[in-house]
Amino acid sequence: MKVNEKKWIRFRIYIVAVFFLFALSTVLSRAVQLQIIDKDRLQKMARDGYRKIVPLPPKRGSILDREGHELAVSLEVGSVYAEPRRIEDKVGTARQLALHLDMPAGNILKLLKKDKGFVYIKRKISSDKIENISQLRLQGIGLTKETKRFFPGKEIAGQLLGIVGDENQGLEGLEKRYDDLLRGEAQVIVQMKDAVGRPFHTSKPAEEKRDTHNLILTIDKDIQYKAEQALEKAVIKAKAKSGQCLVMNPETGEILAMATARGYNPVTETIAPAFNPNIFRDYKPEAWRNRVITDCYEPGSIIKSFLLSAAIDAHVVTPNTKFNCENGEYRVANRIIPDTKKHGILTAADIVVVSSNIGAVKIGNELGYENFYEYMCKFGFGQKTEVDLIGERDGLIKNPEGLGPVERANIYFGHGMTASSMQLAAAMSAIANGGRLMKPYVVKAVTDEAGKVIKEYQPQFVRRVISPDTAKTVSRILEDVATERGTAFDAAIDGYRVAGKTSTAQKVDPETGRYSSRNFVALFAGFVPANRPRLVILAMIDEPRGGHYGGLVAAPVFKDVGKWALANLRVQPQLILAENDTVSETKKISRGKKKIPVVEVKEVKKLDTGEKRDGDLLPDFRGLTMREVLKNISVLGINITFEGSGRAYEQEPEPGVSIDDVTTVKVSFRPPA
Amino acid sequence: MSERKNTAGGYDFFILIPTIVLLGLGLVAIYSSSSFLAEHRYQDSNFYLAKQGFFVLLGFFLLFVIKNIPVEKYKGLVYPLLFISFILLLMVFIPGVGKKVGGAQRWIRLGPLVLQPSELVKLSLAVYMAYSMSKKADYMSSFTKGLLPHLMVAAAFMSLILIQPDLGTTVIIGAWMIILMFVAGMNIFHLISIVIVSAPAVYYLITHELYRIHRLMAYLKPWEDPQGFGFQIIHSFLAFGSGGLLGVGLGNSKQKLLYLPESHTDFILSILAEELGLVGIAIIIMLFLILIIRGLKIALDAPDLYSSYLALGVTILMGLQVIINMGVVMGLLPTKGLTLPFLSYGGSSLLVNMAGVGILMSISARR
Repeated sequence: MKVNEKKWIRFRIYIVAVFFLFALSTVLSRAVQLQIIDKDRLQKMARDGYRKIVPLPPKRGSILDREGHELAVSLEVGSVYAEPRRIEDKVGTARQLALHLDMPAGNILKLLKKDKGFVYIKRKISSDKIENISQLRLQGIGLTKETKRFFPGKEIAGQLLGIVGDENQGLEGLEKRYDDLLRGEAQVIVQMKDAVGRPFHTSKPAEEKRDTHNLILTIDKDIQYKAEQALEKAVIKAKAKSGQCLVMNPETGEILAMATARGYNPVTETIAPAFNPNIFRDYKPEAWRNRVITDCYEPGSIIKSFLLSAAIDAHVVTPNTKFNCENGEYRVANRIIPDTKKHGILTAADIVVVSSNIGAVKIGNELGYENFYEYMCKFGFGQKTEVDLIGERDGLIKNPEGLGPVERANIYFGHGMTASSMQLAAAMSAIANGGRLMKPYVVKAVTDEAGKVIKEYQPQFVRRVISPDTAKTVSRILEDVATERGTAFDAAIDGYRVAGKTSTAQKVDPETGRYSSRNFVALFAGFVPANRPRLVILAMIDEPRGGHYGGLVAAPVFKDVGKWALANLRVQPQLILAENDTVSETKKISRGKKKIPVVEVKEVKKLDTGEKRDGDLLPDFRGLTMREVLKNISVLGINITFEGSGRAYEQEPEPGVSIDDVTTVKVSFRPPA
Repeated sequence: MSERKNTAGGYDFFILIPTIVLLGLGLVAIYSSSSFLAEHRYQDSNFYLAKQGFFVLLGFFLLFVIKNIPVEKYKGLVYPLLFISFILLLMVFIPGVGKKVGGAQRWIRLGPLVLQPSELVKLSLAVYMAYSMSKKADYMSSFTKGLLPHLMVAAAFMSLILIQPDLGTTVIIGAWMIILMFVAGMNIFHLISIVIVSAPAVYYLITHELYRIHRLMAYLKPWEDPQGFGFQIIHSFLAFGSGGLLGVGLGNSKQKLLYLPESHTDFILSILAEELGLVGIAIIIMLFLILIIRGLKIALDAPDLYSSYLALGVTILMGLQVIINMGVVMGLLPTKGLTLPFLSYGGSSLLVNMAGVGILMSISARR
């Protein structure tokens, strides 16, 4: 029986045919929908699925001190993460990881047992550990690379350097100020990955990448360290609230050191915990701000040196112009201007040396507030120094309009106005360098990744403030401050001529709004050597307890730092020329010391280290630093013992003996002059 | 007589050529989609291609053998075939012989070969139904004589397949039976009753297996859990979308990089869609349409009712698998786990489909 014979079967087969035709048409229309209509959307999703944007660990330039010591560097580190849901053998994985990470297996296991897609096991570990872990090929354990900021100098210059956030962005200090130079471009590579995460195609990082730069600071790490140490010592000794120290090259405006000490803690009898990068996170700005530029205070007597400069420069007075200092009581309007000591007739010079407020008011009145104001503006008060840091404050100097005689009188000796340590140091530099206001700066140069200098910051002359003659005259006068006769004998540095000015300024009690009899700012700012200044050093101690005079509290910091910095910079001690009849004891001592022959500093390269056989004789180490001695001795293959510190002045055996006979050299050091 | 041209030498080119083209496409697609996986699993990118190639050759051998055997010869083999199929289906559950893949016990090991007995069941049932329905042609509309015997035989097999578990094959066999019996003259009322009765059963089966719920969810709301149950179907969509009109080119599929599970078996059409685009899909659909229409035409022209039903059975079985697989990969139907004839990787399925083609060509040559 053929199907043909049954019409209804044929008909039903046709129905089946129509059914299939219909079904396949449906399928085809669906394909059209997916492949034509929804194409773009699906395509994009597909790409997003297999393309992975992999961020590269961002680079960041280093911050170096003026001699190339690293202050802040970025190192590549890695992180270990887990995808707990993909890990079958959690115990084994934890145990294996524990071997390579300094973590108890129990803690790791706890993390692995979390019902999460992703969890960090440990972040920022060294790259060799990463390498070890990657070789374990643990299922569900992944590794990423990132960078971590290290501060090789530990807390040195912490406030100045600032910090870097987790996303490689500068958050504070220089890190923030120069972020665009330091920060490398956040680079990504596009990887196409299969479903198990293995890349099958990796794009190259974009060619036109942003360069990372290194900063070379004007800061000298050693001087900075010394400044911080000396300041800390002084703050602890004075049980003070805080302290600041600034070291500057007056000729250029380069800042060699910039330290802020945190307050004395009466409970621990130390100052607050050493600075570390966490301070930015864990404490309020008060604890870490760079007070040298951010805090303006009433500077006090130091202003007298600028007042005198102005008066002499304006030819209103000469150093020898005599003023009656009224035996310590002088009435301006209805107010009495006090002096700490009673003085009779004083020369203009002596008024500054002994720091007579009454004398200052008289000089001021002679000069006139309008002129004084003009000079103060020229010295840079009331305006930012434009130092290349963030957070600088203007300070305040009132303009003459509507200013009463009492207010004017106060300003002549540094009250009723505010200034930052940076401004004071810059103004003092102008006296030191012959009358030129230089713009302070902390970044000396910018180098590329290879270390090639691509930009060098030159000293910037802002304006002439006073004539060179005036500057010279005032310098001479300020030299007397650091003598027995002056207020800052403690600032004197043996063998060098020191000039400067103290301040002991009463602070305004924020509660009463009046000057406090308890809270002072003790300050000394000066320069050395006075005739050809290499350093301007400012030391400020905020609210010292006990002795509060600037000459007693702050001057020793100047001396400590100055002495050390001069040696560090190899500034030759000088014979102080007797300028007047009264040669102080200090000067005698320094003259006596001068008799010790100062050994000419030898350049390391002058020693024939390369051809040691040539000599076969023991070299002369005298005059070298310990480091230089070590450098030389290392190629000779003989032992060395050190004694003392500073520069070598004696060695045993004597230079010139045959090396073959020598097994050990004993070198004695002492601090230079 | 014009028909004869197309069957010159006894070979029906309307059947043979689409089959060869599809097999060729299948081999290319299997290589493309499986080489990465094979490399990943076996460190041999040719692993699946080589196996499939072997089965293609074996399949052609089978095709030509069957083509040259008159279909009447199987009549005597109906019950032995059913019996063998049934035994093989039982062997699936014998530990050591049955092979479990992904929770389902669907395969048996016979020496070096792994067979899927349910594929053979389809063929045996096709022969049985053709034989039985042609014999009982006049009683097909009756419940006891026409419907019940077939239903019982089918139910025996279907329940065994169901407990593997393989709901997809069970449903496809059921649907195929219904269509076949509809053509053979089943009472429309019976047909509707069967559908109504089996629907709750299917519903129960689906809702009492978590993975089936997931599959259903994937079908209904694939985007709700793109990393979970929606993963496979979404990646299938992505493959289709990525292909666009002209495709990304052979070998260039991205979804095959282990994103799309089963990309060389059930979801091979997705890879073809990505690599060959809508044009490729349209061609594949046309080729299947030619095969189906031609198969129905052969059924219409068959010399006797038995041959007609056999051709019909084979054609409908293949056609159902085609539309269900395509419907699944394009998200029109819930995921079933059914292969696409001639294109998907899988020896048993290929051999059975090639045997089916052999049967069609055999019938075609004897019109």
